[in-house]
Amino acid sequence: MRRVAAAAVAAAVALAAFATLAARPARAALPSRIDIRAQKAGLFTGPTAVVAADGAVRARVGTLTVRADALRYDLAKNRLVASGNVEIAGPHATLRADAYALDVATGDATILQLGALPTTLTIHGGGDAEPVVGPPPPRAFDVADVHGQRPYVSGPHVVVVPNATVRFTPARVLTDLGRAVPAPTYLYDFATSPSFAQQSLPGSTFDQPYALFGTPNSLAAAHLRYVQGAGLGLGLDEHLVNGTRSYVVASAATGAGGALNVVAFEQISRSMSQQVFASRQDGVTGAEYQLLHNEYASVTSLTLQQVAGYQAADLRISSLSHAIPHFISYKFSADVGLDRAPGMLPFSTDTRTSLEGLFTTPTIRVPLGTTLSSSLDMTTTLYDFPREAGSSTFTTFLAKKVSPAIGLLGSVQFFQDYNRYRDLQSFFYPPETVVLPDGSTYYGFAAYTGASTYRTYSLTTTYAPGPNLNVEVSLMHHRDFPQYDGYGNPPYSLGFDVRVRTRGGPAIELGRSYLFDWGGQRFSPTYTLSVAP
Amino acid sequence: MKRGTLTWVARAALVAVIAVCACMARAAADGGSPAPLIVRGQVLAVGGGFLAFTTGDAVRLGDVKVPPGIGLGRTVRVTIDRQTHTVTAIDLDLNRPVPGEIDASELPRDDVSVDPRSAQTPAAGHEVVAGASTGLVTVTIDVHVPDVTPPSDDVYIATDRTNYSAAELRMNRVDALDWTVTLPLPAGSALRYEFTRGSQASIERMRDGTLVTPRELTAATGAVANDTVARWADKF
Repeated sequence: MRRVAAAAVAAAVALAAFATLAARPARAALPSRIDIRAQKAGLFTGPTAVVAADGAVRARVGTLTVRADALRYDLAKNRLVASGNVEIAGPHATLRADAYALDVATGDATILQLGALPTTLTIHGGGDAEPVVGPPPPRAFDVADVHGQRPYVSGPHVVVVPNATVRFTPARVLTDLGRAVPAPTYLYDFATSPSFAQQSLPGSTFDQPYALFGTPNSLAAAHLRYVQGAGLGLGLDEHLVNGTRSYVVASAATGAGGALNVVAFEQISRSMSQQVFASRQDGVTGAEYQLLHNEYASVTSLTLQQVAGYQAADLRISSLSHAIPHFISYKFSADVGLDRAPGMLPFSTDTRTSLEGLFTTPTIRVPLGTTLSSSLDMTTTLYDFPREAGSSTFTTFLAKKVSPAIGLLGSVQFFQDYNRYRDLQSFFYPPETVVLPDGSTYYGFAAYTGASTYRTYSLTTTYAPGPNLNVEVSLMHHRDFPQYDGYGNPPYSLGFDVRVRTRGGPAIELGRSYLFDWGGQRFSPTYTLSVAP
Repeated sequence: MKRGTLTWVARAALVAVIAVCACMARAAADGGSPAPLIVRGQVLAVGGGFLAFTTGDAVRLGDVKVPPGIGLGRTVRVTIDRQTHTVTAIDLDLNRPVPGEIDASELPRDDVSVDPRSAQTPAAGHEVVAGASTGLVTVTIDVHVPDVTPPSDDVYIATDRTNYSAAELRMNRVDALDWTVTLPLPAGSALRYEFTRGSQASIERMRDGTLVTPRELTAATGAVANDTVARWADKF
């Protein structure tokens, strides 16, 4: 008897649902917008970005109107789940249910009826599909538990543009200080393309963006900026993104340190791309254009640069890294360049040729559970006018994992560079003495004729018990030539750096360094503070 | 024997029989009744005398008061009487661990009140993984970076959680060219990410120089992603 009743209920549901088939959104066609109104709605930007609406919810998805006590919209999956006194109204029929899930992209819908006997029913998005009484598709009703979390933005009216933006009108926006501030409207972009993260605004100490308009392919935003030493200013930027094929980001920043910048990239073909950087800041205009061609085992690039009258052109070919198993990896680069610097002595126009080799050993295991690896990077550049410059960097890493949370990393780096001007060596490096900040004379510099050696020994301990806390303590010793009191690198330094990410909030990084026996001071503490989204 | 005495004896015998029967019944009940089932899951809907989890399974509500504040997506712990197959308690305080607790995706079919035609079975429906449908799981992302990576640079991951902020999460160095990070993520959620050296100018690229389509990792218990950065945008 019970089975018969259940079958009858299921059949009734199926019949009712069948009537709503025509009311489903079109298959594989995302609606241009999803309009949600509720007593309260919020955007939660945790691991799952979701719009949560509660109390007298009404959502319009294409030709469909969904009313419910509660609704969740998963922005990444474009999936809607409604619950409690659900009413789904289409142009031709209305259906009531206790829960309803809709994949907005495919049109697949799942309905739960808690009548005499609970029943689930799935309607696939095909135009002639029939409703199927049966188990719901896996994770059809999955929603994020946002209980106890604070929404990043909240307000009674939400408009979601799939794969692009969420606009709240009016809005209350949670600031980094933990307080929510009112705004007439707030646009949150959740760009699916990383190219929206490209920035062309100049660096700042603090930057609070305020999105103005957005589509799946564009985003315009205003920025409230603070630049240390320059003060507050405003910025405006516009992103145009074409998937992974191209993007353009243009920006304008006002106030001291204001600038006009453009960054653009285009993948011309599978093997060729071009990019442009252009800026105007403090009356100085600069531009760089780069054309890249990728071959099977090498990359060829042509780079043209102009900054305030200085011009440079480079044609460079670099091999990709090639490994000889268990022995060494190597790569080589060759570059021919032309520099033009009006007024530069002894010539305003110069050509140069560079060669670079990079050799890296594989990481090998050594006693005491440590790993060892080394690299050697050598560069030499010959200029047309009598100059030769070069450098070599040898680095060795020794790493040991003490526990899952604690790691030790020791490194030794030898860096040497040289500048030789042949007959003009004494012109560019005249033997001279240096008067130090404390008034004494330093004679060591007289020995410096263009060859420098920098030796760095460092030991870093990392403590990272979880992703939201990262502590680094570094001890560093510089032994350079030339090195003299107050110039160059401090002989000894000790620093710690703590990076904490608040729950659902920004990452705050605080660092403090102590420099010992440098610049006439026994130790000199310096602070660094940064906040990243 | 007097009639009164017989009546007294009969009454005493009846009481004794009833008492014995009662004891036997209690003993049978104590010894045979299964322990209640403790289930943790997210609420999809409550109505018609049922509580439905987001797995799609519904359990019948017994003599229990549905606490206020229970809403869509709220994670709860329910106690199910295995004899009556009804919910006897709903607990919103999940800080206190309960031994023997199971996830809603592991709910035995006997306790699910559902139309047989829409009955969910593990084989046909959900992949049953401990803790798979609710709660956080730990995932690890390991990455090997190119030889040309400057030794002094840190490696970060940028994820869709922050619209790919280039310095979102600093990874932990394992050795010269290997980095790792461990993340707690909601089970089943998808994380899209890519690697940077802290700025958009130093973001990773494909081996042929094209822009990277973000990698995707679905959070499951013990999931590990072993990635390799083919090359950087500014170092090749």
